[in-house]
Amino acid sequence: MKEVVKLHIPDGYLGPYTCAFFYLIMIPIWYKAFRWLKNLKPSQVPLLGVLTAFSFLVMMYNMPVPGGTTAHIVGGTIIAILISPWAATVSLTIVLLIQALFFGDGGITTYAANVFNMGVVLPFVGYYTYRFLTRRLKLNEIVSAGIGAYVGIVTAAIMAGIELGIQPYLQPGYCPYPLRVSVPAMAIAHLVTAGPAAAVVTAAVVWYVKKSRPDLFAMRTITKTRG
Amino acid sequence: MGFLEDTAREVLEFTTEAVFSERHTRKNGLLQRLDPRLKTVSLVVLVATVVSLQDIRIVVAFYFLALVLAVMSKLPVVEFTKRVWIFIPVFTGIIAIPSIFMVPGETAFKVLGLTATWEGIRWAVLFTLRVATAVSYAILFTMTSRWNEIVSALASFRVPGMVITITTLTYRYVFLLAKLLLDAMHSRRARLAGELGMVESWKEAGKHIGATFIKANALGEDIYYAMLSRGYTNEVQPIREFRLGKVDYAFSIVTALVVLLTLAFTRGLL
Repeated sequence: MKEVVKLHIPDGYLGPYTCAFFYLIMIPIWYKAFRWLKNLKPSQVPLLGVLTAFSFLVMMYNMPVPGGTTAHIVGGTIIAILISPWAATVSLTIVLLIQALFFGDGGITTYAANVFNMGVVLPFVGYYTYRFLTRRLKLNEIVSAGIGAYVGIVTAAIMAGIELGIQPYLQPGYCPYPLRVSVPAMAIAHLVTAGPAAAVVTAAVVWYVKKSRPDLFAMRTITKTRG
Repeated sequence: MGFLEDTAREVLEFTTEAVFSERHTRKNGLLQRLDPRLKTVSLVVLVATVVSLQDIRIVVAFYFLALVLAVMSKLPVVEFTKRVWIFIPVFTGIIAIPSIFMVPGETAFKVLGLTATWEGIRWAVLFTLRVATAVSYAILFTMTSRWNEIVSALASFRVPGMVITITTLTYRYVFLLAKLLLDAMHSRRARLAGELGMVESWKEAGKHIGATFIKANALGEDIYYAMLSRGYTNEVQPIREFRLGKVDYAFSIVTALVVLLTLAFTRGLL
């Protein structure tokens, strides 16, 4: 089996307290995200469905990365920049649910933690980094998108590292490595492998969409629709 | 192997996986006959129980229970077991093996100047078995559940209608998009002389993903009009009405007993 750099935490890696904690954290976030859905026009619901299928598909791209392994990217920042970070939260919530229930990928007890890392931290950090760079520093949109994706995925990886690293302090029998091992391990893997891949891919996507369909890019299709 | 081949392989694996699971959902076994709502709840409860276990013997008992359920659901046991152990991510081994030497405790044996401890071994076995058992239940669920039933079950758990619609559309269109992606990978491969470098393949992926995004946008609009013309009223009605039968009651009683007895036993109440 080929080694793959990815962010999904499987069942059995996080103890019951951590899992329960993330389900609690996700309740208000899901509430807010599902309320955001109410802003959609009926004609945009199928669009979000197809875009969720799209973010499912983005995870199937196998990128070669330094060190002879391959990495998957999450695509959260792509959706956040092209549509809205809330759309990314909704999409990743559904994608990770389908992966956990129908493909045995990710986990059931760790589902909320995975959604928090990939569907909340990653797109929001990615999107706000991008926005800060384009609006405040007046940087080029394509470069900013790349940097945003990089910061987003690395932050999500550090978050996953923290979740794994606190296990030895909480209850024995789960992830055995303390923070001083797990955080650098996750961060370095993403700083040098999946991170650069995500940055170049995201920048290329934004460049491509901007070039081929500037209307889609300028509209930010879903967010500014009501009223 | 390069990015195009790897991605194409990943897409193929994904579709094969879906077809494989779908085939077993049509059998007339125990789990296939269960009410999907009950099955979803039981799965979550069972996996959560497994994850909370600290005693290897009980984890092993739960693993055998999963095998019994596989047999009662007419799943091929060898194939089922193989899938579970293949599915255990490679890093489970990477994580478990060093911990044999890292966890402090009584010395078991020494290799290359490293000291393995009984505590470390116990930990590694517990960790690996627990991951395998949790994965077994997840795969049992995957192999015996039809997509539309689970979506209807989610609807009856009061998941918002909009989320259900989006989930249904996602599952339906992911296969179409996967096919488009596979075609794109093959046709690009056919026109490519030599190999793509690493950064080149990232850029190539970016262009493909951009093109897929644009296609998805166009598709979204088409689907909406197609749905409207078939009488879509912005609301989804679950297709089936569920009714609990004898098997459902029996299964829930047994599951509840197993879980409660385990919890009582592990907390020293028995």
